Amino acid sequence: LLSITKQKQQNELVIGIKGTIDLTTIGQLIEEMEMELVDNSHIALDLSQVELIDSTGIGYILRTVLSNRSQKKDIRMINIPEMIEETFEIMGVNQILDMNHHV
Amino acid sequence: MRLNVYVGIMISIGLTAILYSFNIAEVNRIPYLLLLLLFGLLFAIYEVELPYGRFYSGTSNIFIISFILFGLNNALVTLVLISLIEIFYYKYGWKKGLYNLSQDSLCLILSVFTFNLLKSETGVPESLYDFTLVAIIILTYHILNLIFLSGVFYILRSESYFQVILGIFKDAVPTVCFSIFLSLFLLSTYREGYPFLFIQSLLFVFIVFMIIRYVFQHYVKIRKSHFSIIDSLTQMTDQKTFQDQHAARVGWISKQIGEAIKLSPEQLDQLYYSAMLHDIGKTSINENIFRKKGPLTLEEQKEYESHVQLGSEWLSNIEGFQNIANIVLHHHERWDGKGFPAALSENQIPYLSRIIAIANEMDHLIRKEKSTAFKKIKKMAGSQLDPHLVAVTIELTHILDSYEDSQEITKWIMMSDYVSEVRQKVYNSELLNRFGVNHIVYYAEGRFYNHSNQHANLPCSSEITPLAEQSIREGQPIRHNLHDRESGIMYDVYCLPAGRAANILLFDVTQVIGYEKEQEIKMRKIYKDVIYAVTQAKMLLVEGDELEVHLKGDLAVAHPIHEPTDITKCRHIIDSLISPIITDPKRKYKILLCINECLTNVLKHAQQGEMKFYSTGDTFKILIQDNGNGIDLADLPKSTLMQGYSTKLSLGQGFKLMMSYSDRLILSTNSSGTSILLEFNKEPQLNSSIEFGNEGEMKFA
Repeated sequence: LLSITKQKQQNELVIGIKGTIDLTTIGQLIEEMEMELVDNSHIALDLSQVELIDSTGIGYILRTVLSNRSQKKDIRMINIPEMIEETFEIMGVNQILDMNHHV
Repeated sequence: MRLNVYVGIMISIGLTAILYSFNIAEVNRIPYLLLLLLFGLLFAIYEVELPYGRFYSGTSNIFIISFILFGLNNALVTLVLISLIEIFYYKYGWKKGLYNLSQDSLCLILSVFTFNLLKSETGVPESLYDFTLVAIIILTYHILNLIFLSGVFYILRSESYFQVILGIFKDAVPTVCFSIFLSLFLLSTYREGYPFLFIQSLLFVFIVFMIIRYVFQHYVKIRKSHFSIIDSLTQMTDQKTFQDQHAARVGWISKQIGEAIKLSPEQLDQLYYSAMLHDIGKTSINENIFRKKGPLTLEEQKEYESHVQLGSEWLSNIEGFQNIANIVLHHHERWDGKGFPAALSENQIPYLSRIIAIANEMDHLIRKEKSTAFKKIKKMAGSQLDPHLVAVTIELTHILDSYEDSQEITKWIMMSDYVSEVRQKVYNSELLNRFGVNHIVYYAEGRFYNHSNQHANLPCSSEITPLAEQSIREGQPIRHNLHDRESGIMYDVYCLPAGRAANILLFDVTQVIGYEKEQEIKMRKIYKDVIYAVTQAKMLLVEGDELEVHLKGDLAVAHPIHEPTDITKCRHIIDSLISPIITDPKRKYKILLCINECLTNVLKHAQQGEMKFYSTGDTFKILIQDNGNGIDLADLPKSTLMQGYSTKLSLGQGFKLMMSYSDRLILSTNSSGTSILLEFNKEPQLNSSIEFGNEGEMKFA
């Protein structure tokens, strides 16, 4: 399973995720995120320790970021490893996030 | 405009005629007049609704009796007063109210004129001749009334005046006969100085009238709802949810429970209809959800849950079905409040919905395993289901027995349930499963109407009309194939009679006739070629057996895929197998991600599968097979080539990654499963890192 660390930096909660984000661990991530989204409006997901993230994981994060924007909650991803960045590019993640940002 | 002119003319003539004929000095016999006025009002308020939408009120009898007994002046007083009160009571506009007043007065005055030609004095009729005259005046009154009414209908409809008048007269014969009979009966009991006898007979007539009204009301109500039920049912276009008479059985079980707890006949009816129709909303949900063997995604679950709202919405449009709509809406609520759509709990859930929830579960459980059905339903008591009702249900052991002899219950269902039979007939056609209904219309009197009662244009209408007529005449559904020469389309036509009208369903079956298989084969071939070319020979689509050809190499490992932890296990296995050869961590990451995606798809879209690992001289081959419903070929370009999330946030994003990260992907898919063979070169090739997606996207855009 994932090992998750949390650290408050100014008004932003940094959630550090270590492990593989896929179907086997997504439930744990959803639970953590839902809990933290109740009283945090700025969350940063630190992906530096993520070993592998697949389309299930990416899909969940994307949906969560987009659906929380309307409630003025800001979720961003930081310290994205090179391999994951490449996957994001293939999946068009950044385009989606940017595109929906201006709407 | 024309109608306004007509109405205006009638009002001015009518009012003038009243003023001209009226002489206040002659108004006498106040008590009798009041009595007639009172009953006239009662008749006006309690109109009888005839089938096919017309109304019959007994007031005209009162006008004529007033005239015969007390002269034209008194009759006019009654008429004007009743008409004024009608305007107030029915909230008619002044135009409509004055028109009715004028039309009635003109009819009365003109028929009195006819009467006066034959006899100069009014009074209590005594001889046969007098009674005949009364009959004639009534007849004249009604004929005039119908002629004037036809004027309105003629202007409103675009039929010939003759046709309008003929139609109206045909419908009116029974009511006119009834009026004559009523009036003659009332007059024959009238004796000067015996008001009570007259009151008695007026009361008697009124009671008869009420009984008729009640009977008609019921008839009309039943007719209306029956009509709309069939209408709505036929709107459902295919069999995708009709799980072998599930609805009918839930109806039957609900009824057994309802009878056991002594529901009133009215509630029983409601319960039965709601149960029969409880899943009607499912018909508009993507059928893949029902065929799917694996668990539903969140989105699919949401779509699935919407079926109660959809069904309820449709039903609420049916006359007299508002309650039923509400019952259907809540049949997936749970006793503990964890159900949908409103998350009601315990007694907040409509009583009848709770019964249907139990019947619904019972049918599923009995079908699964009869011997444990009661035990399992007991476990749901208090959490999912109403514990009191469950306690009642498990006393009804005959529910289980009835499943023993499925013939019996089928017979019962067929006999007691016309609706289901029609639905069955519509659905049982094999052809319909693949193709949607192209037209659903309602046929009445030579015309076609859509569901919002507007005229509908139908292909082949001249050929369909006689079929519709025939089905109405014989009271039998008719099915027929038609060929529209203009468009070259083949239609499968269904005519389902409903009283004097029929529901018509038209299906485009052009593709089915003969060519269905060839079409699909052709399509697959085109797909194969296009995808092969567009993916620069990276993706190959093959038919079942052809996959074997590509399975060269030594089978190193096989591992089943049943649950999420298998994903991790398989990934670790592959990791250890390729680690000695693939040293570049980036490349290893890509291979493992590919495997992960492919394994996840198995669990998301099928229930189980298997992974096999082969190794040849210069490649790894990983074969992942599942028992799902297969990938729809039409989705393939999107899910393989387009940038994952630029399409829809749901299915097949993983495909995009597999395409980008593998060196070759061979896909074989059909309705019994999907096989994906992922190939990775042991040595990276120069062109393996081409940014594939954007090119593919451009070519497909």
